[in-house]
Amino acid sequence: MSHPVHHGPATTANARSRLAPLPTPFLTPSLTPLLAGTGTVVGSAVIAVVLAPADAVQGQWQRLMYLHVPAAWLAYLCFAGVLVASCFQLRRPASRLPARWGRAAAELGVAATGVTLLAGSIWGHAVWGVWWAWDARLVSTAVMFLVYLAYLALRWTDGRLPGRAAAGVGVIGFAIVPVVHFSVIWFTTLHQQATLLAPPTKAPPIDPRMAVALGLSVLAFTAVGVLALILRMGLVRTLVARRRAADELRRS
Amino acid sequence: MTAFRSGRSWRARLAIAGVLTLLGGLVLAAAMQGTLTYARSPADLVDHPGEHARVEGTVVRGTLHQHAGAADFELSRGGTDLHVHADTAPSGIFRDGQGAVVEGTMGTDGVFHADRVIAQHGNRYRGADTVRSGGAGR
Repeated sequence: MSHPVHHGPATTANARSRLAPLPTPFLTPSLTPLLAGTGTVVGSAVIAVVLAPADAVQGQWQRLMYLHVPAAWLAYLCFAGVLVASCFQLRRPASRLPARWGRAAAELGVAATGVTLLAGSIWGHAVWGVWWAWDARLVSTAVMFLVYLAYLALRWTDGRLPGRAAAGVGVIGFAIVPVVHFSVIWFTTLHQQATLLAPPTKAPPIDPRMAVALGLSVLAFTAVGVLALILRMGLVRTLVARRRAADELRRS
Repeated sequence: MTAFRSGRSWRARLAIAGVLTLLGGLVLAAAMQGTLTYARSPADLVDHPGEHARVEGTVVRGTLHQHAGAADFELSRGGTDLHVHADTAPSGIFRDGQGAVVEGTMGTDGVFHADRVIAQHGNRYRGADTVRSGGAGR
């Protein structure tokens, strides 16, 4: 993944060769992880929609769980990635790679948070009877969304200072993630408590078929998320190399 | 623009951003006052007529009477029952024996007048097929 980017004076021929037509990003990496990712997604979708039963109380609406929960999990994972990337960036300000990883992870995490909020809102409307409630879980999730939008706003701004400020937000802002997760335990909420990530002594019962569907959907979201990040970073590297090569050609 | 001047403008912007974040935090903290405790329990309300609140509890089995656009039921938590009269039709999966949050005002007549009834659900999930065949409803 981390080939050092060539900084030395390139020859015009070298620069020209790097201006070759952009490879299609989805064909650049090997097909195996793509097929594995697709297989996991299709498999988990079939199990979630067909094999897992509808809930005894909530009916078919409960299937939104297989979208809502893994999206929230992916968001947590991405924001942990932003935290790690931000720490690296603060320790080695000269390297541009942590900032790029952080940005890619934050973009994916914000999108996943959006999916979480949207699927949760539809689920809430069907089951609670309201699209939104001012309870601690919902509000803290919205705050998490805004924190990482702020991170991205700084990341998308050119300059060294906004970049370092973004890294600061990436570190301090992670504090919201445990608040989101434990809000249902710490505060009185409308939102129910966790089922899979509940304390082992208080683990509530869940139909084993639902548990399998949920576990697989979490796996599928994780696989697709990691794959998307890797593809994205490969694409960024290609684009950066092309821009450098174009600059060199213009100068020569 | 010199490096010095651009550096200073960035410092000013960061200061503004800091102040805005602080203000945002204060607004958020104020807004969260009613959020950290989403709903109170029936015992907090029984002797407080005139109070507007959100109360949570379980709908006591056999007490639910629904009529055109309204409902009457007992909401129970921790041994205290609250008689609720709702002027709206309950929403979501609201039913007997389930958790619910009611929003409204405690009346002087000892009845809680709800203008909103929200269904709650727990974190246990059971297949509709197994519950039906096992005959073990909730």
